[in-house]
Amino acid sequence: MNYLKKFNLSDKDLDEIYDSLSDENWQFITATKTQVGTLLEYLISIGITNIKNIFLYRPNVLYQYAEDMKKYIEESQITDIVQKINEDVENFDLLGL
Amino acid sequence: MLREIIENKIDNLLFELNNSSGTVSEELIDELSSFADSVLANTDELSKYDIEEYIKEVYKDNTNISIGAYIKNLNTLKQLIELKKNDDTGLFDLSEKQIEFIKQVCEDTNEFIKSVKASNEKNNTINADIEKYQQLIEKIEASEKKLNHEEVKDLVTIIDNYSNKEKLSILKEILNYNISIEKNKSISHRYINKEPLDITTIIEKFKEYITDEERNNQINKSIENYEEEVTHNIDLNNATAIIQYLKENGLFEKFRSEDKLLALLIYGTPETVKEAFEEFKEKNMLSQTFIYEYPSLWAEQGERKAINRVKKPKNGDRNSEATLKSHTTGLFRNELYEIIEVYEANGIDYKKDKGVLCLFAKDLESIKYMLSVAKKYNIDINNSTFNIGDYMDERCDILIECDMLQPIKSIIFEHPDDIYTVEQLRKIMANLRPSFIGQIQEGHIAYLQQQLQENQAVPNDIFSTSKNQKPYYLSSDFRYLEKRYEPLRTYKKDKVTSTVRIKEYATNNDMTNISFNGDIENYEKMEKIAKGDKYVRLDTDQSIIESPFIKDLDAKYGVPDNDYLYQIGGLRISRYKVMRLYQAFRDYNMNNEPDNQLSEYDMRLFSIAYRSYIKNDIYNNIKNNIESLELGGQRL
Repeated sequence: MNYLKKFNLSDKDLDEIYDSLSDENWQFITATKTQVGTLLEYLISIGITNIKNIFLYRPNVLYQYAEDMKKYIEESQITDIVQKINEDVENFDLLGL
Repeated sequence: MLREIIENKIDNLLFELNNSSGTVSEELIDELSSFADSVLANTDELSKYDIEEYIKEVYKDNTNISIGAYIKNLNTLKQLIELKKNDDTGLFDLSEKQIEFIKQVCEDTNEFIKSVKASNEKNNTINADIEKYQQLIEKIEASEKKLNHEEVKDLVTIIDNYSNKEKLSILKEILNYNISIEKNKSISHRYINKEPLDITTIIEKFKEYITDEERNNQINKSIENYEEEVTHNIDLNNATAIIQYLKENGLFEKFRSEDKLLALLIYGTPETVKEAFEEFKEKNMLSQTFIYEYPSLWAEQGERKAINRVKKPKNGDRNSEATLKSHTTGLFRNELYEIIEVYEANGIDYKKDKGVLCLFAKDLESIKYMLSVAKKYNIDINNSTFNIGDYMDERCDILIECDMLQPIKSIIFEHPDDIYTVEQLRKIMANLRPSFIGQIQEGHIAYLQQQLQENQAVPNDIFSTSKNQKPYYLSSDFRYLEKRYEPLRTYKKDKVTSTVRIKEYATNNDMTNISFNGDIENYEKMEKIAKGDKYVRLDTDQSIIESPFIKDLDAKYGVPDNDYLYQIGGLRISRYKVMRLYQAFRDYNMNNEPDNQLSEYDMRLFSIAYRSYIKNDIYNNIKNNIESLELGGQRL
């Protein structure tokens, strides 16, 4: 999981994330690095800051492709969606995820 | 199952380690030994030693053992040395009684050294065993080598206390494991390159077949991310033949994840891909996007069983990673069809565009189990529901006990857009937010149950509520809760320490828990039964409801018009939990000889108190009640 360090996650964050991941999410995150990395690059590029909380509380979001996520966000009617997600990752619900 | 029994063993060893004396450094032992020997020989040597430092060191390493009297004597000794040091007059001489005391402290020191040496040795053995069992799990997960004689012997020792039926089933599993490794040898050997291929050769070869530049770049990134695995295992002729087949049949672009595509190119064959293609075509499933998310559907098909799913190494660290191969061993087609049937029967849209990708991440048994728990506990079924994890009903019981889940229909479900109070929302937080169920940790439980028993309510300020945010989207994470008290941060790598801290937290707050208070003689064995085979039973038969035990609890602690809760002062106990566990223990006794059965007292106390942090006065009342309850004319 060390590849996640480039997304501003510290050693402590990674320990915390590792402990919280279920078997299948751990498998997905470590065996699909390119796909997950591309999604995280996109999320950071649009201003999402609470990346750690996505791993901790909404790992299902990580299964999305970056291009799909881009489409969901661009087509969303919610103007401050990035801010809402930064307030609380549960607000990915607003995108139907 | 093999993994589970080894994990249980590791848990038991960790528990033992946690309850043993702390490990003392060799350096401190040497220092103390030198102090005791030289001062015993000549008490004038006393002033050379820094007793205060020893006290600090002994305390630091021994938070968990009873050394109060020894420390008290060291403190007295320290005061004595200070008196002597501060005596400018030269009139202060040690009395005979004081010299005798000093010698006694030296002898106590020698005794202390003896006990910590024994404890160190024991802890080293436990740590070595933990490491040995972790390696065994890794070996089983890798499924590449057969279990050797010593490992089989270890497993047989672990299951010594199991029932004959369980033993037989585990021995069969060991045998099947070794047979399957032998069987798979010929297949896996085909893929291993004696010398790793050069990464540039692989990239160049792919470039010939994949003309889209962006796609090619992404695949190259994936090759670099998994360089060692790819260069050691890829057969370029096989991989390019698969690419050709996928392209000819319009499938290549449908495999959107480069990592998963690469896994298929390494571990699949044109034949397995063709077989899958024809089967999906016949079933008219080629337009469904999720079939391209699981390379295992397109690789060689195996038997449907949980062992095929790769698991996170228990007590491992974040350096452990799953391989690309793990994409080809999970979901097979026969299981996919069964999961689809379950989703269709439950009205779950598995064909929708959004969020469908995690719907097939868990195995069939887990999915069936989670759906039944969700129904029983009235939990919203959404994408997060399938991410909760094992022992979901146990987790739901805990949330009932923390007053955050109500297995009843709430008006909020019908009118989610109305404005509700934080209190109203908090009570059904877990119903609305399935992700909450997977996140609750031991420290949270201790804290929340303490609050409920002391204040009859959970403080609302542990949750975030932002302005202009619909209360429905109240934060469900524990950030605010964790700010309250450090011991709640149980994620720390040092699991032993966090367990100690929670135990201290509970004890300091006048609470107890059967996992550490020693009231249940067979706690570990009963916990194993309570956990079941991961999918804990959900249904209880009528005889349990009519049993004297449940009838008595219903009469004393039942809540009107509520079939899921017992209320004892501020303590909430899940009635579902009590019935489920009591039934599990009764079933266990029915399948075992009398000398291996559980006592009625233990069954009752465990069923009520399992995983609950209970104020001592309430706990004692519960125990008194259990002791006084008559059963079949016999007083317990």
